Amino acid sequence: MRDSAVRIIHFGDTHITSRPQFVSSEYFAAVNEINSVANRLKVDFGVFSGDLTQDGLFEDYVFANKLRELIKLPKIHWIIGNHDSRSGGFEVWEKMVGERDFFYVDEKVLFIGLDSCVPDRDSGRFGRKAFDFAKKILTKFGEDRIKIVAFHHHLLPIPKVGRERSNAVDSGEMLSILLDYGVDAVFTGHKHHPNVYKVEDTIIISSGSISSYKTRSGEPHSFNLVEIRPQKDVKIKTINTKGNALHEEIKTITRSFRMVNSSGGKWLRIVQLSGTDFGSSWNKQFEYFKKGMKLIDETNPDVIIHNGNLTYSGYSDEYEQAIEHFLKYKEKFIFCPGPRDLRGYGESLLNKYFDIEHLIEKENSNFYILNTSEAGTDIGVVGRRTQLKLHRYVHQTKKEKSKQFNSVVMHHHLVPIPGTRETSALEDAGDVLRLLVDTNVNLVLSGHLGKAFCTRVEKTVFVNCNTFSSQKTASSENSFNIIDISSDGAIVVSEVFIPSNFRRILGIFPGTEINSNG
Amino acid sequence: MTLREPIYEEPVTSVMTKGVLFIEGEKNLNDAVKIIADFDVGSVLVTVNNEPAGIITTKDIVKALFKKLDFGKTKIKEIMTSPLISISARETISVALVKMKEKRINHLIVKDGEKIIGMLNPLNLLVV
Repeated sequence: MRDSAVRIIHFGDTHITSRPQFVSSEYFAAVNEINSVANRLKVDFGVFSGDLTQDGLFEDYVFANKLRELIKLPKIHWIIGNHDSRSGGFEVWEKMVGERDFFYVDEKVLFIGLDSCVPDRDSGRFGRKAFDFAKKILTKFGEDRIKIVAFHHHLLPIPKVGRERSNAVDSGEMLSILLDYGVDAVFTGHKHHPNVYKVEDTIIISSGSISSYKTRSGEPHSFNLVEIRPQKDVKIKTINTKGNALHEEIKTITRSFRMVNSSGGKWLRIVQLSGTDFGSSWNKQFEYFKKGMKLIDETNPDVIIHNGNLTYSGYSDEYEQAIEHFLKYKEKFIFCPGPRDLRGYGESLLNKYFDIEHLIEKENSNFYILNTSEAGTDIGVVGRRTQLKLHRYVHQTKKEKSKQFNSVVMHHHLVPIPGTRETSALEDAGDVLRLLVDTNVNLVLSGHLGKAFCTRVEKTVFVNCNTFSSQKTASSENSFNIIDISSDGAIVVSEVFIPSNFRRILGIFPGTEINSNG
Repeated sequence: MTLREPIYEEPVTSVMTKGVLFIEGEKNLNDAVKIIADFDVGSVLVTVNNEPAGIITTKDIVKALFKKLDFGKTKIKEIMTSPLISISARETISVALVKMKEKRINHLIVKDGEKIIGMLNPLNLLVV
């Protein structure tokens, strides 16, 4: 690998058309700025992250091809977007722009471009072939090169763009590949809002739009200048079409966070479960519940967190049965409802059997309960008022108890989960994720989609658990998680499979220093 | 579709334990036992002068018990297994299995370049 930094101009969502959805004045201004940056700095290449045209029509492509020529960069990797795929536009793309799935490799960089679009749908899907293609290329050419993957659809929820929708349904699987293969940077578009997250050691960069009539939250059109240094510092600068820097940050890909000091020893053990499904007609429900609870007793947890779907249908007798079994754990039990618990009369029963608290302090640790479930729908929501409250709470807690361990407990997931389909997401996932990450919440616990998974976004660890005694699982067996936290703040996440009693470590993460004595 | 024998051509990173707990080699065996028991892990990486130098496993602890070593006085670095045997993050599971068999070991350190990013033991494969 050569020593010099790799500089990339990342732009997207031009939405070119002769109709008013395309703001030509902003396009020309952006092109001037891009060319000016390229003249001043040695830019290696450009990445266009999709939606070149507004509707994928032939005349849109003809117009776009004239305008594309104005951008003077040594090379541009063009990624197809959902608008380009409309009305059979993906075929026109292949004739007039290039391949939809491709890779480029030189001595410094491996670049993989993927089509994440489903024709005539705003949501996306990568599909098995794209996964296989990406894996094959990363295996063959990834060694000693900066590994970059680009596609149109966003991978993690984006803030300030309204309702979370139109993501790629198999984004969990894609995320898993990117992390497993040590991809350094991911470039996406689609939501017209610039955003950066560091997930473990992979930097996920989204671009704003440079010329669509639709910008988000009153923000200006923008593009990104990304600089990847050999030590794998990634510098991302968001620039508006007038050339002003809107935002700048540096992320470091160290890989060293994987070595976690364990000297402090264990301070707190949390057991996390969901989907007990009391009232289910599944003949193994009670057998697995009993066996699972026996295993939990053996682990001697300090706190037991139930992430929702205590009952199958939210009926009174189901609640009573569940309460009877959990009552003996009253002092260490924390519950956050799932959609099934709120069905029918469930919301009233929840109020009958549980104190509805938002903040619980146990073992010098703070647990904020975020009820994301609503009756009659699997789709979750936090809501703007609760977000505001959560924001105030997190800031206040950080101010008063900066070294206490802060966790948020919710049913719905925020980070896509490998091996599941991205459905029934949290409507305002983008804003909630940004809030939790920006305020350095230590741990976010969810129990959605029946699959155990954990990862780290910036400094916040996200852990999702499988179902405990429900037929609905995306895993080979039902399971629960054990989360051990050391007095140094390190987090060790394990999954225990209930029928087989097999235990595996899902992830080990460093933490921030905490005061385990209160 | 036809049946086939399982072939482990995925990278080791897809099954490894992500992250490794470490302890300083100057600490004593009681400290190591506490970490292994506390976190219910089979092995802990050992550092000497802030550099990864070896590994201590439950097997090493059993051997120390058999030798009747004083756990309060024996330093971890005195009984750790070293040097570290590692595999590149880019190698396949099959290659890792062959290496474990050849070296007669149950724990393999996974490295990305010079950085340790995880550990692999045969149990990891049970969930493939």
